[in-house]
Amino acid sequence: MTTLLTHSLSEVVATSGPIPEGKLAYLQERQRNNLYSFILKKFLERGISKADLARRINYDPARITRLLGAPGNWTLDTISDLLVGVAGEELVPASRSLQNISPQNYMPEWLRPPEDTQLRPLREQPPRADSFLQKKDRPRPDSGILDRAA
Amino acid sequence: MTYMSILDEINKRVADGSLSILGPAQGDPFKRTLALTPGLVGLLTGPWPDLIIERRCGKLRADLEYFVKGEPIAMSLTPYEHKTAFMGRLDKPQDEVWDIRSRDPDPGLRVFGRYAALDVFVAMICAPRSVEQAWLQRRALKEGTSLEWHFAILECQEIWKSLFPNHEPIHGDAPSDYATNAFLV
Repeated sequence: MTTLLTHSLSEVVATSGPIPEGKLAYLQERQRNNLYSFILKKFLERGISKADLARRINYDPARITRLLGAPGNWTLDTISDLLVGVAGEELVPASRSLQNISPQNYMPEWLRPPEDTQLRPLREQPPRADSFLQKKDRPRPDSGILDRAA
Repeated sequence: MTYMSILDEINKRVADGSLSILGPAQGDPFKRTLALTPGLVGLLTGPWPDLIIERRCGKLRADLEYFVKGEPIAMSLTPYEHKTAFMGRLDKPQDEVWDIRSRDPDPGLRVFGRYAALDVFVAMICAPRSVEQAWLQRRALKEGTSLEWHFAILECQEIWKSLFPNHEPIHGDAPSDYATNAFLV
């Protein structure tokens, strides 16, 4: 019985053998979604309108709506245009290892950790200075994040 | 008779195996809850009949995790409009059946479900948007007014009724009634 599905990213690169096709595709989509979220957050923070953005980068307004509506397979040129138009910024490449990503040990408070899975002991996280977590999202003493599907 | 909230019911359905929860990947925040029926779990965990399907389902999983991570989502509350949204409320709006759109690559997929509470989505079925896929064992939805859309929405309502006979999905007038960090497309 599967009860809680989580991906362990470090497993993807844990061996030197071929990485499964499904994992590669999963990571491609994550990357795409991360970029979309990155630019969308800037767009929402700046509070500019889609029409203004379209004017600034000489795009059709309908294209802006399409681009900001959902993650897509953007070209590097599109990313550059959006970032300049939204925030007057350029993308500076950076990456992180998929190994050694520390898990965040919290889950929605109402959700009971399934009993048939192994729980990792909770490591309390200090509250963030800019704490954006709602009360319901904060770690609770009896919960933990699960490593894998049961 | 003891009253159970719909969140209690979800926990109960998870315990009896009727639903599973999609958690975030290691290190990602767990901000919204996505409950899945066993059929959807099978799509995300495999085994898959070939590499093309494995890749497609890997991308679908990343798209669903995007929701779980609490990332900003563009919503459409008006059926047949704003096809670019990440998720949209389908016709009829009062039925409160939604789809999450995983567009790329072909075949585009639609995951149907309903909001049980703020930031809690119960995903029930997955259908191809335009082209029939044998591995999904479901006909393509095609145009928005097709019978296939209608049947998928009805099926969703039936599954919901069997899972939560005493609860209705939430109703709302704005994205913030359904999910935090959501906006109208």
